[in-house]
Amino acid sequence: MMIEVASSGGFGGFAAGGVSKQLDVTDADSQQTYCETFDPGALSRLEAREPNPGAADMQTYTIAVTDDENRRHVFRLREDALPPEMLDLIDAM
Amino acid sequence: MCGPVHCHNPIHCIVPPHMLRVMALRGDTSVQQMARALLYQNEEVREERAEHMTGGVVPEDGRTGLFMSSALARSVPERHVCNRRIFDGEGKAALPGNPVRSEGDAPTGDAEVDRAYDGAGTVFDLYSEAFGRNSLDGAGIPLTATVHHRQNYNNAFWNGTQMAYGDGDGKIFRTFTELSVIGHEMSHGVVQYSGGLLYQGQSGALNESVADVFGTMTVQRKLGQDVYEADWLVGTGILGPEINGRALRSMKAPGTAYHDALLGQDPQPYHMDLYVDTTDDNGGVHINSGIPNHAFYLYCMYLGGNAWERPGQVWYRALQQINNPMATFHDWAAETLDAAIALFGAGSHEQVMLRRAWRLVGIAC
Ligand SMILES: [Zn+2]
Repeated sequence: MMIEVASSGGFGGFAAGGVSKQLDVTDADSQQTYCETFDPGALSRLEAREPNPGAADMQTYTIAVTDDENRRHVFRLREDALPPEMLDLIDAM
Repeated sequence: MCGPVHCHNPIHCIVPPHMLRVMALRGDTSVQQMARALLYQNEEVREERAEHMTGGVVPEDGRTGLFMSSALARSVPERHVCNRRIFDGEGKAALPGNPVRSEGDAPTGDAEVDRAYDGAGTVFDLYSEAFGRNSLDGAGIPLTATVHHRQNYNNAFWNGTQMAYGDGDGKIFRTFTELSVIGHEMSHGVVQYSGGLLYQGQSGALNESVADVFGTMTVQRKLGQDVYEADWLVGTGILGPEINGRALRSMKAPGTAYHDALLGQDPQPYHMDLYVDTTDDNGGVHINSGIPNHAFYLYCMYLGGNAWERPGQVWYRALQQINNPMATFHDWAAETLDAAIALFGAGSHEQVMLRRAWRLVGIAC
């Protein structure tokens, strides 16, 4: 499983402040945690949620997950749609 | 899984998503719940306190169907009490984090904590003393902020309930607890509780502009600067040491705040002819805000004095009265003209100069 994460936007409004990371989960210490957290089904459910309409300056994340059958799933989510545990994992990537 | 969403609810099929978002932002509790449930497409609605989601508009007395800001509707003067609650995110994403400084507590010695605390107080004082507003919601809501949010985090935001400030990565950003940024984020809260401006396209750029206007106003009032002394910058000193730029945005000269190999050129326009059509950044909310930002700056140049006095009063009244979360720049300009007339009279210098300022940025009203 391969995870690619890119973020942009936020208070600055530009892409340069965001992150661009990728992780081959087979190399990760917490393989099980990454697989469960970035499960395409879970990400799809998060993507379907409507974020808080009063919020402002949120970054947008594009998360691509390539599963073990080499299928690539791409999701676009606002950062407040992502659970804190997932954001912590992204920071640790 | 990633295919088209099937509509199981006839209301969801009839009401377009942008209307549902307005309802989620501004409706009473039951309408908000319905709209949010529909928007979540049968997902379980996240638990949130309804008091944090109220649009801040109430029926105007005796006028069926009309609404006004709940902050303006309060007729009995009330004592405004600042109640700050600063949390340390300790590099993690969970909010609000660990409580580190509450109202009345002594400084902690952590510069980020203490700037967030002091800044929140300064913004509270601006709204209380210059605009008669009791905190972000007009009803004394506590001011909750988290510093040290996440790791190397290049952002600050308002999440509908609280402010959060990253430390920056030290390269592009070095801090976010600068006073104009604090005023900016807290003003997003004021916008939310004033009926809201949808965070997309022109209404989103207006939301951004209002946050910049009141953010810079916070700095000017704190420093005792009149409109000619002020630098009109947003985010002074928050960019990294190697970045070629003075700030993140300039209301005086949109498009000139930075010019850097890594960041490129500040993309903000100052005129409608230069309006940027883009799908990035929620339709360029941080880009096209340069246009209403510059109109406010020009208006201040025409009137002189302090920004939080006549110009600020016009902008604040317009925000309380506009009652249109999907407002365009033209709608907003017209609302500010109505506000100038209400405050200073038809044909007043304040009205005439305001129309001139809007025309200079390409908006006839
Ligand atoms: Zn903003």
